[in-house]
Amino acid sequence: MKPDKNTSVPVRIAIIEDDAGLRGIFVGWLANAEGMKVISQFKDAESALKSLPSDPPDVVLADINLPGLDGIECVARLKPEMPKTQFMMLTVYEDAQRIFRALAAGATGYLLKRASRGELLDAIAEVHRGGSPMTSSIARKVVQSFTRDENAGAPEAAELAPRERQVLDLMARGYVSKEIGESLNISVPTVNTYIRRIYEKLHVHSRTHAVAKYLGG
Amino acid sequence: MPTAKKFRAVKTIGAGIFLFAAGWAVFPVHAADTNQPAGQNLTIDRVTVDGEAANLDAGALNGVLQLSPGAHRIAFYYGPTENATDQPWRLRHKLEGVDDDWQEAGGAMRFTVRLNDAKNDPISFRDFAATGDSQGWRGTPTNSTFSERREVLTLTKDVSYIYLGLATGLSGGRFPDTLGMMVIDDVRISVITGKDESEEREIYKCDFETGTGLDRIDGTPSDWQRALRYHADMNQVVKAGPVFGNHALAVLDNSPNLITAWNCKVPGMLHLKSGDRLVVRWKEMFTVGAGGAQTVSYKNVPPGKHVFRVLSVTPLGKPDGHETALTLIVPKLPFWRTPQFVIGLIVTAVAMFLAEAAWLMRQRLKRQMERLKSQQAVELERARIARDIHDDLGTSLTRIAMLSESARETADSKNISTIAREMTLALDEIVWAVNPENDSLDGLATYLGGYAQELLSSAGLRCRLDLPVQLPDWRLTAETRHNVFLAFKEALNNVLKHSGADEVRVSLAVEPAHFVLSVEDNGRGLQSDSAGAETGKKIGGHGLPNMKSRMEKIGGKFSIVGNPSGGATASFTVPQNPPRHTA
Repeated sequence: MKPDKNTSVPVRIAIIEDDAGLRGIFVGWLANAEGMKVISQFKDAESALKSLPSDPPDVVLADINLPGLDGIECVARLKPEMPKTQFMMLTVYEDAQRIFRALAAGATGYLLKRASRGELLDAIAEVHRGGSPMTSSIARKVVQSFTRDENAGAPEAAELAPRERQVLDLMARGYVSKEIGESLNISVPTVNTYIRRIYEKLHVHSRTHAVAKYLGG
Repeated sequence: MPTAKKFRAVKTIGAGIFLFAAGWAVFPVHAADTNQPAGQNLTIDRVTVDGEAANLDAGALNGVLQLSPGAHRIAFYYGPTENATDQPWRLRHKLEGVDDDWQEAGGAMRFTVRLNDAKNDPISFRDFAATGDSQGWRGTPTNSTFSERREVLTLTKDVSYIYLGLATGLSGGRFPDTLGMMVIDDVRISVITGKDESEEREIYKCDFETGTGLDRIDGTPSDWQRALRYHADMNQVVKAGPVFGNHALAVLDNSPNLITAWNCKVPGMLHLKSGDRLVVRWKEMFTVGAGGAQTVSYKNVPPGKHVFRVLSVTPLGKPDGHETALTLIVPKLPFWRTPQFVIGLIVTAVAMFLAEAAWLMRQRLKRQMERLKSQQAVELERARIARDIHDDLGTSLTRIAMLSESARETADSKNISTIAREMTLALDEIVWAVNPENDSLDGLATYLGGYAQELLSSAGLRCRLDLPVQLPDWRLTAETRHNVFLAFKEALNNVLKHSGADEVRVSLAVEPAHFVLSVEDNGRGLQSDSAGAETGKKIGGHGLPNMKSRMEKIGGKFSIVGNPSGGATASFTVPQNPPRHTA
């Protein structure tokens, strides 16, 4: 029996955003949304790090550009403590490099701040459902990251399965989920599942990377 | 000159016979040392300057040889005058201004020690040469004082017999022209066995005070015998040294092509062991030189007036009145031709060159540093602007967009929201173009790909990207990136507006010095209008000149061609290093 998350149990959401105005608007938008509930809001990463792990939400909206610890660092620290929580990065500016770093650190999606209310709600719902948005630019960065490490002898855990590799390649070549599904003869949700797995492997991959770096590898 | 030498030998015999009659008290050659008739029997017959023979025509020369300025290598060839009735003896030379004293060109006499084994076979031979005048030589043996010598020979084999010798020259004659006299006295040989120096055992002593007829010219000291006796006075016992009546052993060479010697076998069979040290002591006095044709050469004769003098002396070293000279005049080099000046000039030139090079290098480094600094400053400034736009303007615009959407929905609020979103999108482009973090080919490719995908998919067109995963690490200026982006954007918009295509393929190909960015669509192509010739104009109306000029600005090329299968391909060729603008 699958409970419908959207109606029965609201998606519990935390927001980390330093701009009080924006934070207020996001909270306002979500307050009126059905099936979503903002449980906490923070103006910086430090305060989020203190409070969030004790009561992990389902989805965290985190601004990349925070004062002090930035959103990328914040996700990198929180994700290992709250593995079930999905992190969605908020950014004003579509900077592939920074977004990729946030995704590698543990995020499973991102949203431009210029998104409309509808886009925001859709994105949260999709992330919560298990989907993960990915653009060709991000796919390109992910491919580069895996390719680099394959060349340098990557740890097995971080290797992509052939199907994941296909999805990623098509994504990097500009295909959208629907087109990928058509060309691989799979459903769009399946494509999204693959993308989610790619993100998870990217997290493992980057953590291994971080450990290797820490060990002086 | 064999005739000349024969003549002199005859003369010497005459003198010897005369003096033999006069008795031993006066050394025979002494008479020959005096009363030599003065006359030109010496000649400097050849001079070479830097390897070239100088013209020594006496008339033109007048005894003065004028040379070219500068230092020279000069060789003098001198000797007896051919067929002169009175031949010179030993020759001495001096180049005034170069030599401090008279020089002698050679000649050597020797005291020798030979060691033989039990079978009387030779083991080793040592000779102690005498050249020039000994320290105490005063012209005759009786006037002169002896110098003491001590030589130590370490035996490498067992020795049974020792032979001593005093010779005017070695057999075979390395110095056939040797002339002079060598006198020895008080020869003593002792042996040191073991390490203790004080345990010295004397095995032979000879003071030449015993023998037969010692006061006669043919007298022979004990143990010694004559070898190679040509004339009575060549090897004899003489009175020598300041002690009156002291006998000593002498060899005299007063004939250039004859040699003579005294030999001595140390009496008895000795039993000297390998490792023993033999100490040989003797006293000696000598005057040794050479006669005949001689050559002397001088390197680097300095400028100035020099007189090269040749002096003839008797076998015992007394001037016999014959002398010849040649004056050399070596002018100074003009200062600018002196080695000092030339070297100084070169050093100065090199120093100036190095200083100039160092200065230029410093200037270049300075300029480079300034350029780097300003480049860095510009980048920092660009990064700051990017950050500011991003942080402040971007956030504010986002708030406007969001607020207008949150507000009660009216046509105006919707418009505000749309405009604000468009502005944030435009800001994105500016921030991207300004941010130095994106100054790479990969940054450009990623951005163009993302932009194309977003634009095309939102318009319902398929977007296909063919961008190499790994791109060379080329650094592209903000100007290049911005112009490429705007031209690319224009090409995409042209496709959207005019081509009717449903798929756009964006590809990037990297060549050694440039890359080619292509936008290929499957639309109507360039022949969409009836007149093909009009297409250029038509396309031109869609921003072709713009794209062209944007590429020209960055040293690139733009082209657009119709595809055989329909559609068109716009290509942008962009050099890795754009031409430098003379701004």
